[in-house]
Amino acid sequence: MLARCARCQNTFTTERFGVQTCPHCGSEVLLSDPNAPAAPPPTPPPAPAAPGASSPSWGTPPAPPPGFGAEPAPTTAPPPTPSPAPPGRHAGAQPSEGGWSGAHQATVAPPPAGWERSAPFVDRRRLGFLSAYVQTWKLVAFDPAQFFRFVRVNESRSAVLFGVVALTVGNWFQTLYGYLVSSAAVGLFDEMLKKIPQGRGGVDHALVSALVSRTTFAGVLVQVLMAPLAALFVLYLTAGVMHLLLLLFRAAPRGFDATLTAVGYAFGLFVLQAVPVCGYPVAAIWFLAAVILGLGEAQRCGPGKAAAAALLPLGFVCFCCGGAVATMLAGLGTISSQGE
Amino acid sequence: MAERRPVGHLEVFALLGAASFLLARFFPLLALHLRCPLLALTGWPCPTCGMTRAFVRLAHGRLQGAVAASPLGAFLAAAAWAFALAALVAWAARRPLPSPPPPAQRALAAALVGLAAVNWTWLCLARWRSP
Repeated sequence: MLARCARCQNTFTTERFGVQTCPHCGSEVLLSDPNAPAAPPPTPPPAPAAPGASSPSWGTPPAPPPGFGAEPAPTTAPPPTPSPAPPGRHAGAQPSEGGWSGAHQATVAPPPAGWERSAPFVDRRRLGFLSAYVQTWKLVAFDPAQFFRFVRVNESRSAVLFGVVALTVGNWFQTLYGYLVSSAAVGLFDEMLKKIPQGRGGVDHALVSALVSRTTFAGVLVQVLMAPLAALFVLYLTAGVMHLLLLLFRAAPRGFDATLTAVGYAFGLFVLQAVPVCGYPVAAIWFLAAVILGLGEAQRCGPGKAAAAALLPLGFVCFCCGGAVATMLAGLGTISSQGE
Repeated sequence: MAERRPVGHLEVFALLGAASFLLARFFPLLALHLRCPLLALTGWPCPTCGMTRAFVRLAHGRLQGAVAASPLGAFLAAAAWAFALAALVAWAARRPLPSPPPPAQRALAAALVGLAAVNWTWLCLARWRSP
């Protein structure tokens, strides 16, 4: 029989019902058996999966990722069971999907809404702030696809707080390192600049003065105090720009909340800025990978459109800021040639 | 008496818009000598060149100077501050901010991208004409 994947919309041939793996995109799909006697009774949630276990199957309620979220509250309804098929239609069939062919037509059921879980950070009052933060961070960092597939997107406030905390702490460390290092560096740089004649190709000393002013204690204090607001601004701006592009690609069916959730949790990786020297580039690259996976899963739009939405702004930043590196290298080249 | 609604995303964007006004009006942003690396390297502006100057000049009531620095920057500044003001009025009147439907959001996104392209062309032309 021929089946179609709900995610990539490609068709594939299979001989059995139940949970299948799409050969095109690798996502798991459930082919419901039209001859099944009745809707299966709700099964209790299985034990949490072992670390490194594969993604949960759609046939049973998924095992949350290790340490992922609190157990569903007792009042939480069990995953919905498929309703009896109307006459002439297979169980779970969705008329809008269409495109089935062959004698046996099977359908791909979307994941039930009841399978979503809160991130551990949402439950920070019970787990403790640091413990909840670390648990969530591990999930975002090491299992982003599964985390964003199951995370509830209507709890974006926690995602925003998660991202703002990480960005703020990371910025505080970066500011501290900058303060410790830059005074000597700027002094050295100023000495070198004095050897360069001012003019068309020269470097403005006002620029150096501005750099020096940023290394004063007052400047550092302003940066430290403004860091949370700046983090909130950066987070919302990033989410806004990415959501704008997702809207253009028609890839934002779950709204701004889903984008903000993905971006907010992915920004948590910027806590790695606390690591001197290599922290920022590592965080930036890791963030990019996590946000592409996160947007694809949270918006259910797939990694292609998510990558486009995440990489286009980054490409623009690289386009502009790549010049900074080149300018710096050119400046250093000029300085060395002047010194010779 | 109607209860106040919790702060949503639109309200956060409005707060950030208001913060951008305060920053542009009272913080010496231009004294930081922020330079566009692309402009410094190639002599050609990037699509967001002049945005800071546009925000600062408009916050000081210099509309012509703001438009000269970046038409899109001046437009975005005016839109952000008008949105912040509207949010303040809505908050005072205990009314929700209207959220545009998805087709309108998509049209707005396309319009913004188009405006950014037009703005960049304008900046490049201005640079090309200048001696």
